[in-house]
Amino acid sequence: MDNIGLLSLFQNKENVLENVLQKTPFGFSLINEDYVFEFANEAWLKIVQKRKEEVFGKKIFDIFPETEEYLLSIFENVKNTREPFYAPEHNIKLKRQGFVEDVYFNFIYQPIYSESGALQYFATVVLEVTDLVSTKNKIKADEERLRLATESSQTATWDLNIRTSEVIHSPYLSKIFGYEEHEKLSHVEMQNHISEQDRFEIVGKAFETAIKTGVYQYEARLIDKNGVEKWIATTGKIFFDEQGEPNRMVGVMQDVTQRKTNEILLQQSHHQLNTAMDASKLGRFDMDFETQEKYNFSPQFLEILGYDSATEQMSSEVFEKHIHQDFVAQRITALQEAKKTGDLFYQTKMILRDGTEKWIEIYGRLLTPDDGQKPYVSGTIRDITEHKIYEEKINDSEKKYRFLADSMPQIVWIGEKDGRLTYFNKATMNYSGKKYNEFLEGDGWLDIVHPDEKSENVRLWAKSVRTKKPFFFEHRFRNKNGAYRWFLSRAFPELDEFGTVKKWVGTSTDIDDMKRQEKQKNDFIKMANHELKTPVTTIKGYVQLLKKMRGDSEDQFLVNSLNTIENQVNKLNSLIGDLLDISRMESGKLPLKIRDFSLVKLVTETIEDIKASEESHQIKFELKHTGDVEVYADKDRITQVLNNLLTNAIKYSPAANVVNVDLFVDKKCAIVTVEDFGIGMEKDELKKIFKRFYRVSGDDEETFPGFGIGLFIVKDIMERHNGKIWVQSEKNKGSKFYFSLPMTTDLKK
Amino acid sequence: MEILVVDDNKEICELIENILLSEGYDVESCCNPLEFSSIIKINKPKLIITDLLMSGYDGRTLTKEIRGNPETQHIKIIMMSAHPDAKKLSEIAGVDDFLTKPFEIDDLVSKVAFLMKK
Repeated sequence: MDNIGLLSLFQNKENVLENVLQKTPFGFSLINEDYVFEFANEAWLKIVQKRKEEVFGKKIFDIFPETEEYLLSIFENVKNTREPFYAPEHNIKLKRQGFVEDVYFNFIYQPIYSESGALQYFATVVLEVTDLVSTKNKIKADEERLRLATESSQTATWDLNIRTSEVIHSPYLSKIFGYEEHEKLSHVEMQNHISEQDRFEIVGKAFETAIKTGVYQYEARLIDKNGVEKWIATTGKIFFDEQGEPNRMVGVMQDVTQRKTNEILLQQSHHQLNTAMDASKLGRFDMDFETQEKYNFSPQFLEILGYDSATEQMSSEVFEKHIHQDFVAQRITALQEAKKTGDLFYQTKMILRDGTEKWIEIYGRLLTPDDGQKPYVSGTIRDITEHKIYEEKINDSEKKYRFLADSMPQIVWIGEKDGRLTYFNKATMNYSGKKYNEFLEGDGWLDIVHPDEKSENVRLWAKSVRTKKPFFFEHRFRNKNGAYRWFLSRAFPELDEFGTVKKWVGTSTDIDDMKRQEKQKNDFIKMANHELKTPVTTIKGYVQLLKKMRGDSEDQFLVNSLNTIENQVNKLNSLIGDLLDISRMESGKLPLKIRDFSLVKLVTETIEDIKASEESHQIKFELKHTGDVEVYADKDRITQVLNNLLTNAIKYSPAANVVNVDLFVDKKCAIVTVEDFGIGMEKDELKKIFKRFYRVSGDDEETFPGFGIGLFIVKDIMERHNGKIWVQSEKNKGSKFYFSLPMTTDLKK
Repeated sequence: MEILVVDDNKEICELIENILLSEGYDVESCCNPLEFSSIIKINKPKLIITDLLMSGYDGRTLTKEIRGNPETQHIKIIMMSAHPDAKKLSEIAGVDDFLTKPFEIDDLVSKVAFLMKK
């Protein structure tokens, strides 16, 4: 049926139209300008649940008074504007088949005008849209559920009209951008929040890609309203119109700041790990746990094996070919072990393509990834060539030193900083006949020390360990035959830069023969002393007896001779005494008989004795202290000291005739000086004169008589009294010796 | 006999004998210390001068015997020695006086005179 046909149908066959209107599925009614019903079809009557008689010829507001307020203005409006009025999805509760239902209608109020242009009717068209509305509501509910779902998964949704840039978005999107949920953002506002460096580089490019591919995807930084930097991830889809032009884009957006931060941290730690690996020259690889095939060789791995990591690759098979044949079996064992434990470890020699040899160390550990992928061994490779070479060198030098230590006749030992002894050389076992372990366990060392020296040994060693000062001790060790021999043990601490002891290195030298010889020497000197003194006693006795009997003789030659003999015998006697003293000093057996005495008296008496035999010099004594000076010392030994100094003063000033002796007190010390005006000494001689067997030479290299031990004995005596002896001297001018002793009051305290 | 000199060196014995004789004492000497025991049984001198260290029979043993016997314990003893620690050892042994070898005649004479006067 064409349009012309339909028009004629309307114009000519009113009853046909009426019939049609009566049967249409939509409600239709006509109300005249006085709001009186003139027509209503069946569908309309059914919808409003009225019978024909109840409606026709009646005013609408009489039938439905509740609608007057609402509809009157609509009708008036329609009348004035001549525009139809739509009231969509109007809800009416209708009782159908005994149930009250929510029913929805679309009402259309259409003014109909007469040919003269006056309003004739309001046509009311009612269309039931209940199904449509319920579908719509369902969609709405679905949408709401989706919204809730997306919001709770912290996903924002958006819908962009590409042509107009209008954007509709979920409230959560506002939150991502730092706004309140109810605030709406425009597309431009959103773009402005994207950080500058990402706006074009990332978002712009993603958009270009999306236009081509239909898929929109990016991760970018944004600065939210509060200035906080955030990471967002967006995924969207482009919708195209019939012409294939993009017109709409719908998508989701998530705040991925947390994940991104973690990723960056992870990346950083990866970077740090890589840096550490680079620094430690560790190469990396992965290994299939089942097949034990290696893969993922890191550049460093390749470099270690002499490959150019930039241009070359390697496979598991190639790797295996590099392994030195001597280590193949060892490696297989290690791999078998790895199958059992998951831990891979071996060291092997490798042969590189250029034929050089390298030592490497492989270390790996079984990893089970979180994402459920196959477990694999994550491994490292390390170039240990230098280490191995160093180790060999150390071994060589260790062997060398061990050999050296073992071939020494001395006992050599090493102690820890706590004093435990942890090494003994072969000589220790050879001497003692004990086993190495016996020395390391318990009191292994002390066991061979003579019981008499044990406690002192323990005390001195503990003291050295505590003070970090060298250890010196003479003790006897028992040999394998049960006999004891004397040893001198010495140990020195090896300190690190902080002054902590690293090791003690000790030696024990067999000094038994030396000790025996020394004892023999001392015994000999003692015996010689005794044996020599017997004839001296006899000579001296007879000289004195002769002098007594013939001293008043006029034979001057006889008298002089007797005096000379007596003087020389006395000198001989004192020389013999010195020899004995020195041997007793060395063996530490020179006892002191200490008591209080007057030093003034001692000096006076000694000078008197010297004067009796030495007439060549005048000895001038000056006491520069008021009152007596008492000291607590061995009187005989101090006499010996002064005697020695005076004798020397006379001996070394043959051209002079005066010796000055002073006594004074300084800082609670008594000081005696003996000054001569003789040959004197050079500076370098001064240091030597207190040494044993040193003698000062005269101008003509003629030596002065004596053993050269006098000052040595003097110094020892002074030191044993906590005193001092020193000298000032000038060549060819003379010497001044000083000795000082603590005064009684101090010493007794 | 007032004084007995006991020394294993004959020259020392003679020297002391000569010195003390010249001082007018009645002196005898014994240069074999092993004979000392038999001499002392017969003679009881007032003073014995002896040496600390003598071969076979030393001054300390001698002193012990003299002091241990009631018949001889009153006898004075002067000990001589060239030994550096002799003075102390002699004091411990219980002698009356000590003389270092070599000695001054005057010392010997005065010590003897002192003990003989007692």
